[in-house]
Amino acid sequence: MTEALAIQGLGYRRNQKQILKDINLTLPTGQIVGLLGANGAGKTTLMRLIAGSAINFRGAISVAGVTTAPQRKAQVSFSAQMDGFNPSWRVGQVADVMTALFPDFRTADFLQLAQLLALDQKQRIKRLSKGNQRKLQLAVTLSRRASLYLLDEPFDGIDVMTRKAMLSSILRWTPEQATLVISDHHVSDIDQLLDQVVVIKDQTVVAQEAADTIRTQGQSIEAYFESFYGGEQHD
Amino acid sequence: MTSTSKVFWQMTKERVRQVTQLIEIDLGVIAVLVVMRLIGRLSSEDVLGFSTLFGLITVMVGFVAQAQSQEQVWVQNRWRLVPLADWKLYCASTLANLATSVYLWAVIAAVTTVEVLVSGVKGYWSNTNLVVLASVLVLILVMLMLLWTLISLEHMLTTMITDFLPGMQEKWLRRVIILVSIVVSLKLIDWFVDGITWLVNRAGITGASFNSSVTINGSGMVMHGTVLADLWLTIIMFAGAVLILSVLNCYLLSHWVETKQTPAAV
Repeated sequence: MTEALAIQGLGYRRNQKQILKDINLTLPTGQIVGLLGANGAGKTTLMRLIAGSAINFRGAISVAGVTTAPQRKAQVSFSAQMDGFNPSWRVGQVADVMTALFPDFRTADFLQLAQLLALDQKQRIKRLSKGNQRKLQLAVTLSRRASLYLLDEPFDGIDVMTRKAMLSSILRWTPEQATLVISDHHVSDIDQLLDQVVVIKDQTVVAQEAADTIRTQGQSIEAYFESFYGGEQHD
Repeated sequence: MTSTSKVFWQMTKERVRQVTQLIEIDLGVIAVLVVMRLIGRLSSEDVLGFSTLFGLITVMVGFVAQAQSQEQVWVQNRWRLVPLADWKLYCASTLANLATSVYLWAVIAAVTTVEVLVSGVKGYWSNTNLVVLASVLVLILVMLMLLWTLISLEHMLTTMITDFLPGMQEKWLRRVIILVSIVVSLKLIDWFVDGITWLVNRAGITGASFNSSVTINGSGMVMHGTVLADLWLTIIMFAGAVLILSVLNCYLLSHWVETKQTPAAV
């Protein structure tokens, strides 16, 4: 069976500075994966490379068996795909534009998700609170029928109730055969969701482990992650 | 995969909406001018003159707005993550700009025509040769495309250099890079025009000979006179420059130009 994601020998430099190096990573289908790392570890950059918004890299990236950038873009739904929407637009207009541009965008799913997350269709983007903007980002991302979903720090600055609503949406709306990657440095936010954990440190993947294996060893995901940073503050 | 036509329509829709707002402002200005004419503060000729001037300003502001929209396409995830080859995205954006310009000009021309007819001012267009006018409009369209292409080239070169070299966070350094890339872009055009001129001279092509070899009768448009033929020769040269620079832009777009990194933004 084709993997959801296969990365080989990935390296990426920007401004002559090594951001990622020698990344090798394979993710199976139907998993929720936590991409963990301190601020600046390269989580967002890795997601940008997978999604196709960062392009000048070495190595190979394959999503659901396809490698070219346009094909990968058709297979990946990335939470940053909302960057650039006119802040004066209403929530409903975002759905219309997404329907026009992405053949796999399901308007009916978006409407249900928006209702579940208590998003007002008539509200303008710039009038939404930070939490509601995050909800909109999540609703747009999950309304596509993709093979791989990338959520970049979806709970950053979000209150507990909103976080719970978003977590339940993630569990309910991610298709069974799809793989979902969530990046975060607040591990406690997402640890109950995860099937797998990938840790990034020193510009590379230093660990990939099944969440159940970590739990059966009597360790929390948070403690497992912190063990790579030697208890140092990573906030 | 998304089709190029869908991206084109979406871009055109958004840009037409943008220039429609400019047209609304232009119509507002014309309404004020008409009121001033009715209360006797302006003559019909003044109203026509001022409204034509505001029409030109609207077209220029529209050009800048479209250039800005085009540049955002290259660096925003919203467009760059659409499953479409980069060269198709480039073509869709350029064609959307072209279509929007035609829409803007058509509306401004229609408004001016209505004004001329209503005002009863005679001789406003009496010396206008429609064939020459059409040729000039095509030339201006091609020149607009060339300008957009140059702006894109300059933007892409700047993005590429600032992403590649270290220490590019400094503002003054970025400005130097922008200046250098503008000079490089203009130099490229200069070389291209020199090259074409050399080729044209070497082949012995003149406006007159071009005129005799390219005559379009079927469509009702007949080229006549050296001036008109020279005009079309210039159009072809500019179109060639647009094509070559577009190929270069597509290469930069697919190999070097990445989207802005704004993880917290929606």
